[in-house]
Amino acid sequence: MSGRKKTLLKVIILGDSGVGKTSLMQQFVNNKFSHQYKATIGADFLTKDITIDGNKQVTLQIWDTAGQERFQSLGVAFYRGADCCVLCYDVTNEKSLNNLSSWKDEFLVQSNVSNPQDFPFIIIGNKIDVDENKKISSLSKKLNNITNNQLGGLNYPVFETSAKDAINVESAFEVVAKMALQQEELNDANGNDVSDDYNDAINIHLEGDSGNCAC
Amino acid sequence: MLPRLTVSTQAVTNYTAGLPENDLSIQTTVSNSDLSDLAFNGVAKVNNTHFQSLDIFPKDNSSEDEYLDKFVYPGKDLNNNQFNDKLKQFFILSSSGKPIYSLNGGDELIIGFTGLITTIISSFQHQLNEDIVVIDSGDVKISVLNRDPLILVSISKINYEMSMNQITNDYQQLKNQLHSLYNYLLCILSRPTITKSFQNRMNYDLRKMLTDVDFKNLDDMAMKLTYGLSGDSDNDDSFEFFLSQLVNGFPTSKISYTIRSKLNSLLLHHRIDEILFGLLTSNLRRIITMIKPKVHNISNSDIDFLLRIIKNNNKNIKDIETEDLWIPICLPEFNSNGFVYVYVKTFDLAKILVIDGKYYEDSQLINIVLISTNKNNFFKVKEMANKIIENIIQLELKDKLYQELSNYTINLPPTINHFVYRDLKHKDLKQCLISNNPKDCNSIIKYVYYYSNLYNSKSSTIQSLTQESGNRKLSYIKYDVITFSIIDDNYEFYAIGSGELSDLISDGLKVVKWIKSNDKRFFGNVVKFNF
Repeated sequence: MSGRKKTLLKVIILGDSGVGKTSLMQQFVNNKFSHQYKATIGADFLTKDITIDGNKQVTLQIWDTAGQERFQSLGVAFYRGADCCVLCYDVTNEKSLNNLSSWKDEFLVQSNVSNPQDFPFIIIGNKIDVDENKKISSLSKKLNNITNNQLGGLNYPVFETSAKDAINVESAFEVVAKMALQQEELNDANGNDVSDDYNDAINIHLEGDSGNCAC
Repeated sequence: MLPRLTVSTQAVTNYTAGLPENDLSIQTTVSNSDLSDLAFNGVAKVNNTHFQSLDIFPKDNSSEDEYLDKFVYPGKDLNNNQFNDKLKQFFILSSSGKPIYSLNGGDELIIGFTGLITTIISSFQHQLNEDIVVIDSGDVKISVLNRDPLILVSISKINYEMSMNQITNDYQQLKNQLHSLYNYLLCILSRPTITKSFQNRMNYDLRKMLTDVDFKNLDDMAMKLTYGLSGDSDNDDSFEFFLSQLVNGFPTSKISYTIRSKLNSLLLHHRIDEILFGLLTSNLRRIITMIKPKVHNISNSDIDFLLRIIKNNNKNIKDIETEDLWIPICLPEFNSNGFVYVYVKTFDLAKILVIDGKYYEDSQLINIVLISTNKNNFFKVKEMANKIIENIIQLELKDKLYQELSNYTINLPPTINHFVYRDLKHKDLKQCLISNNPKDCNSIIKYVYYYSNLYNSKSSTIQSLTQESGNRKLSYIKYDVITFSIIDDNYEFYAIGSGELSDLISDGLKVVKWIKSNDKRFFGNVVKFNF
């Protein structure tokens, strides 16, 4: 078995249309911000290498999805096999905040992950660079309600970012990577690796014809 | 003199696609006439065309080496432009879009592609309930093999891979390539291992299970299946591999019937109950003899992989003659659900031959390959192998065996440069006989081009007016050389030659006749037993 140095992590970014998913990703990967809004059509893929805890090499494969509903049919391929999911809202748009839990549910249904309660999610509230008066009123209270709700609460780390001014973007993604990596290491430690036991010998006498190739 | 063949009402194929016109002598339709009476205007040129002047690949003014480096040979450390220059891409990815293998480019470059590929495939499945097989954009052909949880994809810009097989109406070559790469993964992992790895966690990174040797093997296979070139500089058997995959026949050896039956009975005599298949091969490349149970078959592809994996394993061993190999391998076409255990012992025939007190100089490796279904059988199987070797050492004809194995050269009529004869008569194992192979890149690429076009072209039926044989099919394509095939119920004969077509056909039929009269030397090498 080869010890590959880099771990590859699939990261999905979800959230309502216009909350800044693509901007966050562009800021994180390319350190760029554009004032123009272009709706993502279907999906976009970006890659970024980062180092965690000073020595762990991680490659993030970031799947930027379209928030618009008409592109949602891409479905399963998008969500399955994800290592971490980033739920985004816009701090000036209350609806996008309230939709977070639908996005989470949608993800869990489509991705069919084995332990939903352990799956790494983080929440990003974007656009904190805007004027206070444009922000959702009593945001922290509302946010608190959503994250600490006992029934299906989104009890995940929250980051407030500005893709425009590059505030907190890097650190948010670092936490994303860290959480996903932890989960990955946990899986490996649990011996989920079906490694080297070549005990699946075939029983020729029992299998008879089925062992016989059709040529 | 040519046997009396008559072309039926069907026209003889004129396959001229993608050829520079001045290199062509266009053949008019022929019907109801004797082939021997055909007259051709085209004068055969000396076969010295370079592959770069044929319409196989994009034109570029670089030297052969530069050309191959730029367009053909794989590279992992490439920038975007260098990556796009490559004429062929292979990807293996998981259904979740994580890369597992790529012929070219590193992670940064291909991760976007793998995501995109998964998305396209998945949206087709989602919306149309169908798997994508081929995406055709004219100059580029994308082929997909979906084997959940794995997806295999190739992207080709190569002329000879663009055309559909006229007989099967399918992109056979591209399809087979993906199946081969998939089968390789099954060989080393088996289907249950792959399935279990992804069970409950689609995010699994299958690269954790693969070694550097596996990635090298995949590169090597991808190159051989596409260009007939080896992934490294050793082109020794790369073209033979390409050709045997194309016609689906395993290369045989030429051994006199007496020796072959001696060896067959040796294998049978010493066989212990636990042995399912047993092979003697020459240098893990050509089958000398094989024993198999009446009720089970082993496919060409499985034998190919088996010998290939052993060969690559042997590369890392200093002195293979002192080593006993005992490895688990899955034979995917035989049974993809588990492993068989393969014992391999290699010995050098030259070292047991003494002539005038001297050993032969050139080594001639013979491999005993014994396949068991029980992993605890090592010592029993080893004992069996030792007995076989002892008996071969005592064999009176071992000297002749050495001569036959080392003089594989097949004499050809002057008109024919190269041929492959695929036997259809013996059903136990699909085998072929290949004349001596080109080793330089230029000839290999040209031959790959010629044979691919020939194999995919449509043939017309020739009704036999005379004697024994039934209808034959003839197909030919004219370049500066002529490639042609003659096919009947018992064989397929493909060849490249120069001269008049009628002479070529006549000479081709002579070769066929010669092979048929030596049938037992080439093909009678499988013995069946009651299991």
